[in-house]
Order: sequence, then structure tokens, then C-alpha cells
Amino acid sequence: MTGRVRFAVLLAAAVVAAAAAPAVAARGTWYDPYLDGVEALEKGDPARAIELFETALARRPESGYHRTYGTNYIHYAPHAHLALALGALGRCDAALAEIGRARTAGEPEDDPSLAPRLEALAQRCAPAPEPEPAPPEELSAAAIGPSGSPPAAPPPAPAIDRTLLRRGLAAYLAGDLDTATRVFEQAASEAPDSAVAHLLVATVRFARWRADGRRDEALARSVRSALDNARRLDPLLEPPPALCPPELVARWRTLR
Amino acid sequence: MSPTRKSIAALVAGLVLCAGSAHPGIALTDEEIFRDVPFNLLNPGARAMSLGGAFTSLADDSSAAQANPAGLVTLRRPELFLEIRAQQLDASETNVAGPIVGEFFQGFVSAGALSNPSARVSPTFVSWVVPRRRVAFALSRLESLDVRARTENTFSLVGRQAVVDPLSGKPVPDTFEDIDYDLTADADISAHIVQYNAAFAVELLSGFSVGITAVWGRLDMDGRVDNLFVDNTALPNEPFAEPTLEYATRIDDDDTDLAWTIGVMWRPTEWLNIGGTFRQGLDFTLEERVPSIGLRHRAAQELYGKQFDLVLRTPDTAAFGVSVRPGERWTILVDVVRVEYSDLLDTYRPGLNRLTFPEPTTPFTVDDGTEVHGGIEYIWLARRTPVALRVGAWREADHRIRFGGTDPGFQQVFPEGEALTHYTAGVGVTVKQSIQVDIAVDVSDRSTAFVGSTIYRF
Repeated sequence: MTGRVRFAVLLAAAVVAAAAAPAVAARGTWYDPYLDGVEALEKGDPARAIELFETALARRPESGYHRTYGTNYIHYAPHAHLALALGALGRCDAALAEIGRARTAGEPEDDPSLAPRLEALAQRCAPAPEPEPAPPEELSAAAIGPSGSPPAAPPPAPAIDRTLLRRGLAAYLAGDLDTATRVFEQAASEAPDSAVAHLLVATVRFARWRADGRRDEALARSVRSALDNARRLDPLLEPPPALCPPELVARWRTLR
Repeated sequence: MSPTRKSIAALVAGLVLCAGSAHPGIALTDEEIFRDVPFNLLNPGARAMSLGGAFTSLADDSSAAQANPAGLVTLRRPELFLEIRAQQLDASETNVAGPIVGEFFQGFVSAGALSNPSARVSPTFVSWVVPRRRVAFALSRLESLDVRARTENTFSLVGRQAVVDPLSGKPVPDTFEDIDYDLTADADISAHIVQYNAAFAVELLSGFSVGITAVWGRLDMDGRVDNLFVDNTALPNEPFAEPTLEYATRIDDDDTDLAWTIGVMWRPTEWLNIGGTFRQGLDFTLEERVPSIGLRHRAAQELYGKQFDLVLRTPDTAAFGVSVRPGERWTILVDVVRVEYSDLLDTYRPGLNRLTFPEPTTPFTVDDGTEVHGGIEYIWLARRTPVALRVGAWREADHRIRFGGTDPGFQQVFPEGEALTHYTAGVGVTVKQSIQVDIAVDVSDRSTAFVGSTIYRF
């Protein structure tokens, strides 16, 4: 049999093998669904990401620094990523449970880049604090000014649409900056006197400017503009470090 | 073959036992320059080499473009692969001598064979792989043959040669003439095969993939063989007192061919991989010339013409491999490779060798070989940096073309070779999950090769 004939025979055998492939389908690796899940989360498909992370967890429950193929190793943090995906869908209870598992498994320590994202998610999902008890009589009295008249109460902060806030944060945490920008800008337009809304607009624009390689001057100006608006509306506002990058926080402080 | 030539061949047969090791294996014509074509059939990359070349079932880096295209779908990130190989085929010299008392010749015969291949350092494999979800594409370049060697075979005959009856071709009883001859084949060869490969792989189902590679190869060859004769009894200024060219051959040509490789890979569990490939050889047709120089060039031209087609057919290979990962740190691999060295004989043309000329029907043969490759890899983490230690071995089948007839003299002149055991070892390190650097060494009784390769993952 010549080489070419043999090649044809083997090619036919490969086709037959391919046709019989369902019989040999394997369970697959743990890292393929995990890495696919990370990719899905980054692309703004948290539902698909949850499915993939759960598959990965079923195949490999232990977090850590594990070998994949060749000589490659990855930080395997399925609970942390599952928490982020659940949070992006607004499933706060499940997300908090996964954050707890991630912390128990040491995932934030293993991959420090996850820590601020989990912190932000935990804050967002944390149950609202109980109302402060009424101050004792004497403290209330001490708070009264020398003129005998009570000090002027600060005006209530303008409310942001909570649905928009959640949606924007979910998109931001999932890396979907376009959606986050659109949602936060809508929130700012609906609550133009909300310093928080303008700060969120500044934060997400800053993330886009950085992701774009810090080249877009117009975008940089729009970040400064949003920061100025927020600063003008509430000079005492403190940007949350878990959400705002240090560079933006520093910039905010220089405005004071 | 003339009686005189036949007698010479028979006489030296008992002495040239080691000639093959001095100018190993040959193909194409039976000229000495083709006795050994050291094809680079080992899977590329220092990692594969240090594992004894057993990589068919793993193929989990960009060298899979050559080792097993089905493995390309394992990759998650684009990779660029570069291999540099330094190879030294050992120079060898064989000199044997002894008295001979035979029907045609009584006297003293000595035979010497010298082979001096050049050391080579060159980038032998480059590959670029782009994986997508469940499919992967790869382009690569491989040097599958790069040899430059000079060989010299000399046969000295001193004693009495029978006077041959021109009618019967048999020696006339008790009639001898004194002779003192040197027969020399002085040759050199430069051969270079470069392959350009385009590979495609698809994962048909989880853990099961197939791949195919289109191979376009080009062979450039320069060869020279001068066959000389000296009569040491001749007085100065008499014929044959100085080395005299009898006939010669020349090659200066190139050719291209297209071939295919197919591969399959099955990963039934995370700790077991099974792979197989069939690699079709390349066929090259070159023009070999018999120039009109030398005393006996007409005889050579009558036999082969002034030029003729010379076909170099690289062997087809079929490989089957299994790898087991009993833990995250260990990988154990075994490949069995069938190499069809008999492809080299498909167009074999005897009769141009110094000892077979001008007998075009001298039978030659070579066996197909089954080679076993095995290796073990151990990986540990130095902080977060994976460091790999690898050892392996493989058995290179005897692929020397040998005399295929019953004449015991020629059986000794063109003997079979011997299988070689290669021992391999290497280390590798992967920095920041992006840059992998590996080095390996392959040592056998006949050659030493060092390979360094690097992978950059984007």
C-alpha cells in the first residue's frame, strides 16, 4: 500500500471515528468551563457564567493555584467568580454565601485582584442597617446651638433610582463598561442633584478611559467634569475605595 | 560486474564490517553519500525531546502543530513557539586490514571509511497557534533534514590477482599478476528539507478532537561523488600512478511536494490522554548527472544516461501514544512509532557504488522500524513559578540500507546496522504564565543533540 493510499484509508478512519465520537465523549476538564465562565462574566453574560462555574466546581471543588494543560497554572477561584456572577444578576443572598465560601477557601488572598470586587459586592448586597436609635435627651440638647435654636438640618440627599443603581453596579462589576456608563448617566440625568450619581459617572468613565489606554482626552475631560459636579454637590462625600480606583480617589481629594 | 571488480568486492567484504557505522545508512542510489539520511523525525521542542520524543498523546503546546494537530484545541491562548537545535553527528573512522587468500586474490587488503558530518546549529521549528473556541489554527516551519557531510571510502589491495579467462570469467589456474591498487570514493553531500505546515484542529465533542496538517516541503541538495583508482605498482608517469578519476556523479537540484498529516486525540478522563497520528512522507525528484569525466564515465552513462531522476522519499510514519497524569505534578508518556523506512527503497537505483559499479541489479533492502519512546515529567512550584524536570529514552530502529542478496561477501560489505538507544533529559520553567523556556539533550552512541525552545503565550 502506498503512502497516499494509506493516507486516504486513515483519513476515512478518522471520519468514521469522528462519526462515532459521541460514544467516546468525555467529561472534560475543570478549567475549560472555569475559564469560559470568566470570559462570559467579563462579556456581561452572568447567567451563562453561573452555569459554567457550577460545572467547574462540580469537577474540581478545591480552589487554589492549579495546573491546567502543558506547564500552565491558573488561580482557580470559582466561588469568588460565582459570587460576582450571582451579584450581577441581583441574587444577593446566593452571592453573599459564595463570598463566604470564597473567603473560607482563601480565594481573595490567592488572587488579590478579586478582593476589591468582592468587597464592593459585599457592601452592595449587605442588608440595610437598622435605623439608629434616637439620641438621648442630653446629647440632643448639646447639639442645640447657643442661640437656643436647633442647627439647620442638612438637606436630604437626592435619591437615585435604586434599580438603575443596581443595574449599573452589576454591569460595572462584570466589566461591561458601556452598559454601566449608560445606566449611570441616566441615573445622573434623573437625579441631577445627586453627588453619588455624578461620582459613579466619573468612576465608570475613568474605567473606560483607562481601558482605552489613557488616550482619549475628551473622555478624561468628562471624568473631571463629573467629579467637579459631584464635588460641588457634596464636598464631604467620600468615594468608596472598594469601588473607586485609588487614582480617582486621589484626584477627588485634590479637588477639595 | 567484471570478474576483477567482483573479486575485489569479495575480497574486501570480510574486512569492511564497520563501514556502515562510518557512513551510516543510505538511500536513493547506492552511492555512499546516501547511506544515511538523518531525518529529523522526532517531535519538535525541547519538552518533547526531553520526554524521549513521546508527545503524540499530549501535544499540549504549540509544537502540536507538528506532533499531533489534534492537540491544538487544548490551547487556550495564542502561542508563538521557537526551537533552536544544535546537533553533532559523531565523526567516525574505521580502518580494518588483514590477509586474504582466495580464488581471485591472495594478499593483503585494508579498508578505511571516514565520515565527518558538520555540526549544525539552526532554528529548526517555528510555530504560531491561534486557538478559538473548540477550533485552532496553526502555521509552522520545520527543518526535517539538514545535513552536511563528507565521506571517504578507500580500499587498498596488495598482493596477487588471478588472471581471468575473458571467455569463462573464471580465474586461470596458477596464473597471477602482482597488484597494488587503491580504490577510493570521495564524496560530500549537503541536503536541506524545509516544511511549511498549515494545521487545523476541531474538538468534535468534549475531550475528542481531530486535526489535519497540510505540509508543503522543499528539498535542496548538492552532492558530489568522485570514484578514483590508483595503481601503486605503476612507475611515475605511467597510467594510474596518480589517483585517477574513473567516474563521478553530481547533484545540484531542488524539488517541492505536498503531503498531509492527520491526528486524533481522545481525553476520556483528566488523567488519561490517547493520541494517534499518520504523517505522510514527502516525495522529491531530483536530477542526478553523470558528467563526462573519468576513464569509465561511458560505462556509467550507458547504465544511467547522462542524467537521471533520483527520488528521495521521506518515510511515512504512524504513531500511537498514551499519557497518564497520576497527579498534578507527574506525567508519564509512551509513544510507539512505526517508520516506513522501506519507502526509501521505492525507487532505489543500485550500481553506482564504488563496489557495485556497474551492476544495476545488486539487491538492497531495509526494514521498516518500530520505535518506542517514553518519558516522565515532574513539575513543582518554586513560589508561583512552575519548574519541570524531565527524563526519557527512545529506541531508534536500524534503518541502514543493506545488501539483500545471498552473497556473503556483499552481506559483509553492506551489513545491517544496529538499533540505537537514545537517552534524553531536560528542564523547563514557565515565567509569569506567559513565557516558557525549555532545554533538552539527546545522547546516543552516534550523536548528541541539544535543543532549546521557548513559548510565548499571548
